[in-house]
Amino acid sequence: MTTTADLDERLVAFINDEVSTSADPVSAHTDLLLTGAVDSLGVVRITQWLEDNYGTDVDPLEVTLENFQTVERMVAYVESKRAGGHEE
Amino acid sequence: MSLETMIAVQAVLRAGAAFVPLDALSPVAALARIIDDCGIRTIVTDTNRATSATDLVHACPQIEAVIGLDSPGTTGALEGADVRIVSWEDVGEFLAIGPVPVLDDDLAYVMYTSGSTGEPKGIMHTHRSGLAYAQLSADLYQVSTDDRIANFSPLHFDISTFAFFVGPAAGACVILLSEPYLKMPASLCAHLVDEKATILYTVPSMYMQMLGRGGAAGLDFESVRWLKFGGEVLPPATAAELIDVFPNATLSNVYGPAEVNQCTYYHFDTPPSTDAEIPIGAAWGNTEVRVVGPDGHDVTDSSTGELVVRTATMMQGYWNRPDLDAGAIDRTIDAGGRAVQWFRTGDLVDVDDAGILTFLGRRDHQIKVRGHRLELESVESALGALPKVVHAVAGVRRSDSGEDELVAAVVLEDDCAVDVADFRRRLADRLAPYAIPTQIQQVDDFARTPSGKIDRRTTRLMFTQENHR
Repeated sequence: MTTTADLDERLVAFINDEVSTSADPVSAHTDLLLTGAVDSLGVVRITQWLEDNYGTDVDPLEVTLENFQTVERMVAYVESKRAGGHEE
Repeated sequence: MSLETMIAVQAVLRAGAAFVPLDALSPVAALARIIDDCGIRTIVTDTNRATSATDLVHACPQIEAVIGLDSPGTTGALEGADVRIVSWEDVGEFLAIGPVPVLDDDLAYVMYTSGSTGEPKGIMHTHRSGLAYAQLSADLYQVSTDDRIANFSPLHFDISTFAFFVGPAAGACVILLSEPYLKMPASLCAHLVDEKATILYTVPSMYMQMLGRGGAAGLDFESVRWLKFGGEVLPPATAAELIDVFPNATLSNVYGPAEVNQCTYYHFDTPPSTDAEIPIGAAWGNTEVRVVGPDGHDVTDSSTGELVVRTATMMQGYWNRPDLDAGAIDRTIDAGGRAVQWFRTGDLVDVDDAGILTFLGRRDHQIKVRGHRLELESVESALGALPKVVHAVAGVRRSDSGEDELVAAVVLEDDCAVDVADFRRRLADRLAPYAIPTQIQQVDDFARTPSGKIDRRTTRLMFTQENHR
């Protein structure tokens, strides 16, 4: 079972290695959208990564500022999706 | 993009200075070349761009002041640098200037684009050309104080002049969409509905994202009365979808290189024919267009030629590049001995019996990626400079969703394999983000001409046709 801490680190690493266009490394709390570290294509790739690595479907309409501004928020979002999925 | 952006533009113009929009996401070396080229002394920024601003100060000794950095965390890296740092709070005291004479023919702004070898090329606009654009736009789109114009574009992208000039000139409200919204189509669409936007102006790929991931079809966009688009081709099927989703909107295909702002338009509110490109239409006010052959004379036995234009919205010329002016501007002498300037767009068009123009392609290798102008040669020369690369060809491929993508193919030294992530990282030091190919494919060799040279035309055509196989 993937823990939140694991996911944070792997997602941060994925963004730094393959997505970020910024020279400054991002952390779990970096505002990815405002700093320009992630462009619109990057958002799509992160969404895909979350689906692949977290086994959850991401509804495009939920790819919002609230849910995707930082790695922390993304993780909270997929966690809540997964929790919701269990309830069904 | 923030309220400070609008303040900066208005303040610079009122102070009799000129502004030069820079893309903070471009490599420092590319920005430093622009700063050197036109002698920029003051940078205006905000704390989100502190790293970029700091790098520029270190790279360009002629920078005297940075406006917009404040907290110690964002200015620490500038300690010891011989530069004045002014926060947005203190900017009122930065320069106390009295009334400055500003004439219509004075320089107002310089828009940079990159030439074929990647060298900066500054398009100079005056207060006259900027105001003419504002007036003609306000007239054509009947912009009033009731309007709410959504601005999608960063300042370095000339589409932004609509919101930045026409908004204040017509007394309309401008909705400055901050960067995060532009990456989040779902949030963007909801925001536009909340803000009751009446005029949208952006590139077709943004509309496609709004219709796709943005879920625009499920929202109520009845406040929107104009959907302006430009910079690239809008697929007719997307146009039909937009007409459906925006019930009260008229679509307007806007055409005009940055050198002349806008010069033609084509309005429609019924779905266009699916087997033809959407026309770029006819000249707007205070503008004359001609279609000329290779000899520079109006075409007579053909309907196809290069579009040349004279207009009130024309640039003054390229910054310190009379050689480029000579290549782009034809001068004719009228009966009174006065020079009349015609801008050669480099765009090939077809003109029908009613005088409606349709864009066919470029005379050179300039392309558009998400509305950004780009010379394929500049991408190829950056690729060619990477280690192990022997030859490189760049081209455009249309994705399944109808968007144009920049792609490239390379021939490497023997026994080398392409490391796309590494290539992309290295390219990011030389090219703007939109100029980095989304796909880099390794090939054994390229098609050759009979004389043994790389046949770029055939290779580029191969990209174009790739997903039509």
